[in-house]
Amino acid sequence: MRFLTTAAMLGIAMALGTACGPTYRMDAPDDFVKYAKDHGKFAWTTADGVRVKARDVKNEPKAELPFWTDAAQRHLTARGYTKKSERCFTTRQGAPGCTLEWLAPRGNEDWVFAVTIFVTGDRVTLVEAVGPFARYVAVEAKLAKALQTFDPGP
Amino acid sequence: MRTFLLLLCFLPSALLAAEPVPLAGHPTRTDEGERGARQTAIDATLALKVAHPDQVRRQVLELTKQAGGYPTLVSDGRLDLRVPPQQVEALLTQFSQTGLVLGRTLQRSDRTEVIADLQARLRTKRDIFQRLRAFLDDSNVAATLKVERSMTALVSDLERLRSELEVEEANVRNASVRITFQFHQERRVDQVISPFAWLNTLDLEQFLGAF
Repeated sequence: MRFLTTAAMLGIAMALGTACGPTYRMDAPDDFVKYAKDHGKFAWTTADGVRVKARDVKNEPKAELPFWTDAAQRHLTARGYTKKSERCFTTRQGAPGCTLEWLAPRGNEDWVFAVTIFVTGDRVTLVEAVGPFARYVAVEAKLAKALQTFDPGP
Repeated sequence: MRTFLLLLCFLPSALLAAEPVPLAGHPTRTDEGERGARQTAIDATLALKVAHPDQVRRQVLELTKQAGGYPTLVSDGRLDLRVPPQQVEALLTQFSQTGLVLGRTLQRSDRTEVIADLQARLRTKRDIFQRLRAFLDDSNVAATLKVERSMTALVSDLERLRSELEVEEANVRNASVRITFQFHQERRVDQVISPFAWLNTLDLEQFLGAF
């Protein structure tokens, strides 16, 4: 009976773990706060609306970081985004990642759409950041510094 | 009539005397002709997509000034510049670093023959003018009127040829660079579908909607 209870609890714990999704870790970037709407998700924002969020997608077809960086670059260029910069780096935990920054018109402003790509086995982790150009540029270095500490989780 | 004839006598002298003064550091047309150097006009265009056109415009104007060039048109979406020909390629490279290059052209056209032709025509017209002026001294009224009509037409031709020559020479002396800026005008092409499903989820608006 005790065995069954333990197994059931383990099952529930595993199910909950799966439901909660990956657990990302990152040192809080200066000027950003965790977005309060949903504490479970990895979302940050500045007071003036620069937003950061992480999510996983399937690494399908299975490919490495240079492949996905190149594919993302070609796709966004074809969609009319203007490339601002590309920066590849290795996190403190040793995970290689690449940040691609793009510009897109939104209303009368230029907005930055940045995506940082990490590839971990079957997962591709995307850390997306968005904000109006001037406001994004003001926190760009702080965000890049925080990304050095990003851990896509197990 | 006397005043007009006096004017006709002085004007050609002024036109004939007004040979272009060679700029320092620039070979004269005669020197170039003697050496057989080709006179080349350079036209360059650069289309840049930039985030902040004001900032880039200031930067481009500063670089142009440092290189000894000057703007001929400054507007929100366009800059027309005249720059020393020997600097044009270096400047284009510097300008290209201020944004995303959407297009770049550099065209060289040989103006040697056009300039030589204009110079020859100008010389011929001046010779004719000199000969006509000599007729004025000992001609009767009827002949004077005929000479006067011919000289009036010649003065107009001389002025036109001279200004054409000046334009050609200015085009050789300074390269023309036209920069157009694009930023908000370019619309996104939303129909592009990637065969890699997750790439289709990379989108600024989608991100903001789901945040």
